[in-house]
Amino acid sequence: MQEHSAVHIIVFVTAVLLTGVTCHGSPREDATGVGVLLPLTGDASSYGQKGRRAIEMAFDDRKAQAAGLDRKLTVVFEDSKGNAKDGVSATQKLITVDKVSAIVGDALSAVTLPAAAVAEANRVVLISPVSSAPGITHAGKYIYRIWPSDLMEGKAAAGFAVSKGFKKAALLFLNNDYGNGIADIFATEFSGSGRNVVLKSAYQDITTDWRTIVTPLASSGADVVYVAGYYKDTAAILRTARELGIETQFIGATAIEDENLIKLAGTATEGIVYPLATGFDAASTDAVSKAFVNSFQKRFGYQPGWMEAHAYDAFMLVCDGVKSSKGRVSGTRIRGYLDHLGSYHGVTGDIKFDENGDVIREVVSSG
Amino acid sequence: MSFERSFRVVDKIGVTQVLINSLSGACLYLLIGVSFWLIYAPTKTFFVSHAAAITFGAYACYWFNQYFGLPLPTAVCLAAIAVALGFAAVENALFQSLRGDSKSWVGLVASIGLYVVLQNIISLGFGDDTLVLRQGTITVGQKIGHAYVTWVQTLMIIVGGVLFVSTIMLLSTTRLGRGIRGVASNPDLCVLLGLNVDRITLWSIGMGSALAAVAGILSALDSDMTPTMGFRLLLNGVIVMIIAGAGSIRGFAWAALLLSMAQHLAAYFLDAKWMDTVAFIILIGFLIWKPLGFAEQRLKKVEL
Repeated sequence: MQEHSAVHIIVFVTAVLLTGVTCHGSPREDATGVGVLLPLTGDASSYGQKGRRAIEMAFDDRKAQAAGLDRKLTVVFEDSKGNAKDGVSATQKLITVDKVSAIVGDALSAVTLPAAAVAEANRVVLISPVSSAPGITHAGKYIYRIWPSDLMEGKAAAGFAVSKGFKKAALLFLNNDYGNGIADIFATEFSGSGRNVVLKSAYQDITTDWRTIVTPLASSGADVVYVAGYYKDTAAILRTARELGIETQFIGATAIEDENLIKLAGTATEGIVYPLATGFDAASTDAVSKAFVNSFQKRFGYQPGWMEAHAYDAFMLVCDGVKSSKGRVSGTRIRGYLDHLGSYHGVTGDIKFDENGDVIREVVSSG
Repeated sequence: MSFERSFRVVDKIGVTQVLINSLSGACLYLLIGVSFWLIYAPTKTFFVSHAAAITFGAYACYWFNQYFGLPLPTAVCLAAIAVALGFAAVENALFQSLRGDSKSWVGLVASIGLYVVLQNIISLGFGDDTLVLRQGTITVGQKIGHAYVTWVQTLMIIVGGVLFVSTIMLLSTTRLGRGIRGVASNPDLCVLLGLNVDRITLWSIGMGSALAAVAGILSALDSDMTPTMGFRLLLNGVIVMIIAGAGSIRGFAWAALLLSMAQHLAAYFLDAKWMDTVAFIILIGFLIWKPLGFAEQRLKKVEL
């Protein structure tokens, strides 16, 4: 009887110890999987699909240089559907089921923020290719991004408006983390010394009635309009403004840098100015950018934009992190690589991180 | 956030523009409200999939126009006919198969499923990106007083008005129209009187779907199209139907105007994000104080 009890106790203790090992010992230390979290379906799917193409190409480019890669790399794509809830589930799946040690994603700040909390808690590196919400700066030690914070972009847009001598600004912004955040920064930077914001209006991107949103501009007396949104809604606002005979100067956000903007709004896009927060330029003469643009164009039949370029660089950085990890690959080791990264020359220019994991990059104006 | 700024001052430019926008918006809601009534009345089933008829109308028109190079009017007619035939077949089949089930929510759930499938079919076929049905370049609208009116807005007002009046005429003067009202009021009695209830239901669904397709095309011409466009439009159409009171089709015009004007005024004086809130406040207000809608009377029913 006593022997039985002893056996039971040993079995029980061993089981508990083993469970402890599984829970805290991070079996993902052996994994070389990289997760990709992007909105592959839903309203933001155009961004997700662009990112996916670029990462597929980056993965193949990486395999081509297999000699330099000392271990087998796998990539797992997950669909965030562009919403926080699905993004968090997908992140949890990538970490617990696929046991990835690094994640590239998401494109939307509203998804990146909650996904970052999950990654941080599990000590998994997360690099967002294009998320710009100021909140990501302090999202954690394992969280990086290669797109400047909206703080930089909002300042650049307001700086342009001030330099052109505009006095009364109207703000139209998307009613989400991104739009609200960037509009607030613009308002703070612009106001003062006789300048003020005369109209501030939030809109939903699913609206079908743009006329309602644009109508107040006509009688607001604004001499400059700042639209903080994506290309689809900005295109709709520009088109409607033209129809309503509004000829004020428009300023947009970097997110509108998309060939579809002209497809959607045609000649109504004439005259709009926007800051360019990306370091990517498809017409660049830089050898790395040129090679990327050419091989992307050859493979997918169209010229890549900022989404493709940033996804490509984010994935390549993670691969370098995996490659540089001595012994077992872990989030902590990749983090160590990124923290001590002097400067990486990617297709979006030179990438350097500050102490918060934000890219250090200048924002310029484009028209 | 919106409370930070004071209420907007009433000015001529803004108010004229808001009134014109409300009128064109109301015509679109009216069309969708009536189209939904034509399906709801004879089946007493809340077909959420009707939202897909709105979307399919726009995409079918785009397809005929862009891929076959057909002129817009021809494409509109073909799209309306195609949607009418397709949805009459599918929704009628769904309705007939659920007929034995007395619970109305079964039909609701089944139609939500149907809507999801149909919306995904559009996403697969055309992608999730915004597509443009608009013809030609974007021009400044016609100036009327202090406001601007685009040709699509004019088209909305004319087409919406004409189709609404035609539907009322059809319902009150033709044999089919009286049949639809009969089935809406009391299907059992119609069977006893020897009316072909199934055939009337099929026609009614077909007509409703065709009107929804036209509404979808008008909306797409005005503000482009995405696979999810139908749902929001349907929501407004359903609110119009509820506040009109299903008993009176004439109440639809008042309901559409009230809803559209309230939404546009709220967006102008408060903020655009209040549009939906205002729509639901009106809906709840009606449900509490005027549950029978503008009509204020129930249809007389002959109980068996």
